[in-house]
Amino acid sequence: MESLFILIPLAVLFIALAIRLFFWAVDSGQFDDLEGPAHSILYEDKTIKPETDTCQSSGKKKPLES
Amino acid sequence: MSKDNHHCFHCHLPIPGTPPFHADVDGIQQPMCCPGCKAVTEAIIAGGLNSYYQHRTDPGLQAGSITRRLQEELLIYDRDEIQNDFVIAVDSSLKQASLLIEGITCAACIWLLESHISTLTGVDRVSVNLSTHEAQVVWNPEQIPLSTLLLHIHRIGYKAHPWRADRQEALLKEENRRFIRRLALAGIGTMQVMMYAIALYSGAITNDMSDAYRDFIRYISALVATPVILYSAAPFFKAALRDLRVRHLSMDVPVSIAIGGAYIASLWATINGSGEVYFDSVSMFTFFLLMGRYLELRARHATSRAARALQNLLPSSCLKLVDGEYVRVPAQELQKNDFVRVLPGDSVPADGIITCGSSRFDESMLTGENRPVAHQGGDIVIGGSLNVENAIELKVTQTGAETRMSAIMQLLNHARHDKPAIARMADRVAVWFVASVLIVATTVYWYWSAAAAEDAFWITLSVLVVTCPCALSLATPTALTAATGHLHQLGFLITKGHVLEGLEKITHVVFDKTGTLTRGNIELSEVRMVSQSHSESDVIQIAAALEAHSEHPIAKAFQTTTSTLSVQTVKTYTAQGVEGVIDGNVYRIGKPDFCLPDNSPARPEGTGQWLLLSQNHTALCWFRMMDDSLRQEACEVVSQLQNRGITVTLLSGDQTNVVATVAEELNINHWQAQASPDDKLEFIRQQQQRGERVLMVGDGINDVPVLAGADISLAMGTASDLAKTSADAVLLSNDLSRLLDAWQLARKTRSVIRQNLTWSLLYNLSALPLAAAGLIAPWMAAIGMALSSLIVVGNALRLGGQQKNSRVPVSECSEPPSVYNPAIRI
Repeated sequence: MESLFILIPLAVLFIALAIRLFFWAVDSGQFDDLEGPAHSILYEDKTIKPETDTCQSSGKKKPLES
Repeated sequence: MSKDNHHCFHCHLPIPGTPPFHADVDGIQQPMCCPGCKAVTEAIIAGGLNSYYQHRTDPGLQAGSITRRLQEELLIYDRDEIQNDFVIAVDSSLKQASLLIEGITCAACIWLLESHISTLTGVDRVSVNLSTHEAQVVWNPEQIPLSTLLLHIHRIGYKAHPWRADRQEALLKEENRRFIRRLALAGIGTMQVMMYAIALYSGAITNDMSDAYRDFIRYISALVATPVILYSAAPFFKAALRDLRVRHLSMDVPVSIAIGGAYIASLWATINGSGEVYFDSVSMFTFFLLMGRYLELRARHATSRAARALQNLLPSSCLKLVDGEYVRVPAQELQKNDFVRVLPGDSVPADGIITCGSSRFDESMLTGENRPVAHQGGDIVIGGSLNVENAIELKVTQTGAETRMSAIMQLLNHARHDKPAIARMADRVAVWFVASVLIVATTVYWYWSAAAAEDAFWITLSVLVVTCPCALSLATPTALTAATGHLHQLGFLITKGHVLEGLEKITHVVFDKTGTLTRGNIELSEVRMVSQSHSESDVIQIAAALEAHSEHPIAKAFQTTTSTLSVQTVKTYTAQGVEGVIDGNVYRIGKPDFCLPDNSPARPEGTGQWLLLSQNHTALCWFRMMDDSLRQEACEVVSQLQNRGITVTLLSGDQTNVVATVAEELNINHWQAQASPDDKLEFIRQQQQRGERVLMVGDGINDVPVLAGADISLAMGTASDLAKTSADAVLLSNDLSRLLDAWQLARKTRSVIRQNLTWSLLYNLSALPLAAAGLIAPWMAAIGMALSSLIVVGNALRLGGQQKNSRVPVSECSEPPSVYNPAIRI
């Protein structure tokens, strides 16, 4: 039973990480539209565009998430 | 997905008679109601986007056709000074525009827009938000101008307006995100603390847990519960403090006392290793209450967003004389003494004097008179009125705040200012609830401190926890949210919060006539042949071809038939009629003395306006034009309202004989004709002084101050934008019978709220004596609270509409779905 003294704090640490992750997701705008994405999986995407993206470079905040 | 041959395939509007248009969808000729829908359907098919029609759950909006004027207006958006408002530069070559899309009805629209726009050359990315109807487009202005993008959006049947994410919008977004964060933290924290609590309970029941483990788990619970209290529950504490400062008791006060008290006591118990801990109950309270608040917030955001989505953001444009040429400019740029050209079908951009030409103007949104008024050179025309006949030129005399229209706006602000507020039921309950809880808790403490001093504090705490008005404060918001969402599905959009609560108390309904009880248009009701040389369909074809060149309201009656005939040398004569040449024959349609000046025949007997059609100066036939048919549901709605003992009044700015006829047809005993906006407002004020509660249904700008003065105001979906934004609710579906539905739902909502309040009070009252007797263990308090909250929420969800099932083919619907544009689903 002594293992509880290790395991429970570990669990708390994981929870803290999970909450951090969730906050990050909210702040990056993933919860702004709670309806659209649910339907979007139903549509087949025939139009595959070549990646001509100049602002996908790392470290740059994508304006679509603003 | 086609319903039948009597409904438009794209927008599902009923088509009387044979469908005038067809479009080829997957090899089947589908019926279309207008060239706009046909063009949209063909654009969608041509883009390979057929699956839109398989996946959509709501019909599209009836499409407007793309006119040259629209194209010119869209070109304005390519100017940098206009773009400054809603476009940001992403990098050296790309720009990003925020747009508000009008006409989104379901998720298939999102897919259609995204797929179509992203295939255009020069478009980098596009994303559309289904909840807010905002679109973000990143594009390269070198390769494709913005106006072309907007035109493409119009082409597939939507309207795009530039959208400035103003401060209010940013605040809403931030508030929403903060709430989700709080909710998540409370939810995850609750789950954790509950797990530890189960261990503590089982230890307490079997009584074989060593103190070291018990205290360790209590400390861990405290560790997890602390952020929940400090971060998630912060809004309750803030609100409670604010309320106490203004000496006002609200629901937040007992909630804060229970949460704060239980938390501090549990912390104390943990440190001292004695008593009881309530960390699980405290976290659960916070989570459930936040849930209720979040529902409320979503509803509030949706209504405020809906209200703002109704504001048309297009800067109205006009043709201004610059160096001898007319250029399209935004109307805000107009100055006094500018010269402007107003084409037929355009609205007048500012008050001014006609310098050239003569025409008739529809001033109905100012005066309520729905027949166009003729003005010649030298006359003053009012900004906002609609030019219906010929192009004119005018010199601007007043702009901006000095126009007649602004005067109406000021009247509106004045009327809105003293709107009767309706207090919330739950808050009224809260006041005496808080008082009684505090009294009971004090009594319990006083009793037990005499009987068993060491238990007194814990028993009092359990009283506070058990009576925490969790269910009580969920009772109202959940019911209101469910009902608002249901009404939204029916096409009844509530933009102000008090509608559902106030609708029940209404004793007097005032209707405007034109466009509200009536359809607000002129219809062809009969063709009476004079000569037998042509068939009836021939003469209608000829008339439609001629009238296609006129902007007069009468011409709209012929728009339902499309003519294949081509007309040469068309001339419109103000207040007379139209002349044109078809296959070498000269035709005239209009007043009899215009068509046959020498020997005009006598008008046939019968009410209505009679138009004559002549060919080379011989009469062909008479067209009988009837004013303004009643909406088919109007009679039913009025009699239903009267059956419920509600007084119905008809107030109109129209002429007496017209109003009298309508009132008689609908059995309305109280009516008033030729009423100015001030008269209408005065009438409503009088009724209110007599203790009546007035609901006003109307459209048009002249009703705006009246709408604001009524207890509850309802604007038709076809109303002017101004009327819609100032009304408390909008009838998006334009179906008056929805008013009865709303009434019924308001009644049901009230009874559900009553049930919820009764239930939660009953629960609290029955648990209270047990807690006061010291019989309630912490785990019982937690279970009781969770159950009572879930029952309240479940009961409220009965008010929600039937969830639309996208798998059900539309043909199985018993009635045609109403066409409207839900701004946001809640």
